Amino acid sequence: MNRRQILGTLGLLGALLATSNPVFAERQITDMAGRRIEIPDKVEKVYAIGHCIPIVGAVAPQKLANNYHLSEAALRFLPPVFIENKVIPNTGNSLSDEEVMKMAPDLVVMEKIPGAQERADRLQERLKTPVLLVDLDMLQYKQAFTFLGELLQQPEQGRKLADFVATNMDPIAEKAKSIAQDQRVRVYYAEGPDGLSTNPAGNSHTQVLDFVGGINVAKVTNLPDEGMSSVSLEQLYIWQPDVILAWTPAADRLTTWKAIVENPLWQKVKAVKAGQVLQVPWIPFSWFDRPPSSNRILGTFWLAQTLYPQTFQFDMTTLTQEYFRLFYHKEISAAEVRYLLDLARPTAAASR
Amino acid sequence: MRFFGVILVLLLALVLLSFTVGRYPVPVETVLSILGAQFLPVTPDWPPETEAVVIGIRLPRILAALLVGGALSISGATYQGLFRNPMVSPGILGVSAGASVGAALAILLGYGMLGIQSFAFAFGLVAVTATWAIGATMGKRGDPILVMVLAGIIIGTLFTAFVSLVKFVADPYNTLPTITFWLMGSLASVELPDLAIAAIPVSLGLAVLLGMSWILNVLCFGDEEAKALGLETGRLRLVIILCATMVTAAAVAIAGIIGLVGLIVPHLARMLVGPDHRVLLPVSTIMGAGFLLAVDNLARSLFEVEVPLGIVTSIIGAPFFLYLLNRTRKAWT
Repeated sequence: MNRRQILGTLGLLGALLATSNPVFAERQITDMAGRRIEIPDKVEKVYAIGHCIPIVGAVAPQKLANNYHLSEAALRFLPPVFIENKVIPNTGNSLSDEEVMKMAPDLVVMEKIPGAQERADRLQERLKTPVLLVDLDMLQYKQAFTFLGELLQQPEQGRKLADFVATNMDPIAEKAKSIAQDQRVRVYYAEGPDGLSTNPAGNSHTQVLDFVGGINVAKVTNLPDEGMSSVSLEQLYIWQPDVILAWTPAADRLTTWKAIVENPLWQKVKAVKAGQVLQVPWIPFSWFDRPPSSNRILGTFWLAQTLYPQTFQFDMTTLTQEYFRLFYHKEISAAEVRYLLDLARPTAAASR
Repeated sequence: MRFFGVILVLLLALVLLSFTVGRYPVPVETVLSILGAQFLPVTPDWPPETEAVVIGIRLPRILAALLVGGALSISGATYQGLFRNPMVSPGILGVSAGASVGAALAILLGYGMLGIQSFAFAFGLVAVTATWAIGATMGKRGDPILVMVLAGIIIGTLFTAFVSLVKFVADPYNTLPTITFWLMGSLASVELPDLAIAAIPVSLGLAVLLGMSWILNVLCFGDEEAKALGLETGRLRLVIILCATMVTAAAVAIAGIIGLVGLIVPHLARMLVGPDHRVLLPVSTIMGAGFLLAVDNLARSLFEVEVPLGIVTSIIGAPFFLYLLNRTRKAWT
């Protein structure tokens, strides 16, 4: 035990004493960055930072202490346990230290990204609350669910989620490897109000595309963090993607989707000509990206089947219902599944 | 007059050259045939994609660079003359800060490109109106120009704070990057309809400013002299500010924040043709148009990623400005 850990432990003990909590028992846990952290025996309240909200909510919605600002449409598709009594930041997506202190969580869960270890250590010192790192990489979901299940004392739920990933999602990557190179679909991820920003292959924001074996046409430098490299339409004439995915902010108004589909200049791009501009479904969280968390699991099924209907034939209704039951703790009807899937093709949905 | 001829020919050559620059390979002769086909009956022997690149993508972009570069430069030259200060740039009265607030708000509210541009333009005008109102009420006692510039600094700071506020409440994963990129300036998504709208305030303002350039010469001597000549300095100054603001706000609305152009180009022009505004204003306009076109050609062709134009103008502009500073220490007006 080094000095920092001793101090942290002492601080934690002090905090526990101060709240006159009779629980002294503690357990040790290793987080997904390999840090050994002492955590309270009973975990009732968890502050999930940013991208961790969906994944913590999937394991233990009753313990999730905070949430995003969610639209009306998103709220309709989440159960009360996922939305009631949650602290919602007044600005942006993060809470100040004092707001976190007021919330008094037993634990803080943070995404493991480069540089996160130091930030987690510092935050832990300041808040005197254990801060644990969880890996949100799609290839680590099984480990993440097992880890969170243990951490949040919901091992059964964690195992169920990990099993769902192992049974339904992981085989997609395996099967996708067998798709011949010349059969692969070339995809452009259109971000920004004009659709002229994007993220390249290998980026966390486009990992679903890599996962299902799509070719990301954007061969641009992988910028850190949000990325969103700006490209010109001329470059898209060269790339000529087969499919365009429109990102989800302002998706209810179809801002980006319309900027592409209704613009005569975009008609020279293969995907637009072929009517293959897809609006990524966004309810209750985006199915593809932002936040790049466990909400992307559902998008994996959707995108795999959309790009390769010959290779992947899922029963999307059952699968979506099961996903909502397990991850959002909500029963939805087949008609509601239809509604969610129809969001991807706004013209088809309008003419229905 | 011969000088005008020379720079206009140079600009025209640059425009033609710009049609051949870009990520999508188009041979020079195809570019020329496509351009010719717009006026002459030529049977197209090129793929429709090529024509879409040249006419649909490059033409609006080139026109936008000319319009924005010219607009920023003439308003820079105007303000430098009006305020008798070589450090003044088009943003001096808060127009850029105001436009940034408008654009950031529109992005926050999820509006498309037209919404972003209209908001930017409107808020640019709002900011300058505020500056002018402060200048007009408080400038009565004392130096009106000094008060106006100080008011501009304050309004600029205030609106910059509003931008930060919008960025602060914006969703950091989605909206914030979009706002940040808009603020860096780019011509990547400008289209002909946007240009047609922006061209109205720009050409209107440009025409009035060019027509009034002799008044700037008089105002440069100071209010006393101008009044002695029977000019109503207050009202004239208002008209000039109004026009320069309209021109800048329209430019910022379609292009975002593009730094240094409006500061450097008037200096370069002054170095070549001297301080007479009757010559300086048109020369600044033409040179600014050419300068921004050249820089935008780099921004859109160097890499597969578009480099934000504001970054390129500043990186190229800063050393260039120091070079000018070193050469012309004596030549400030």
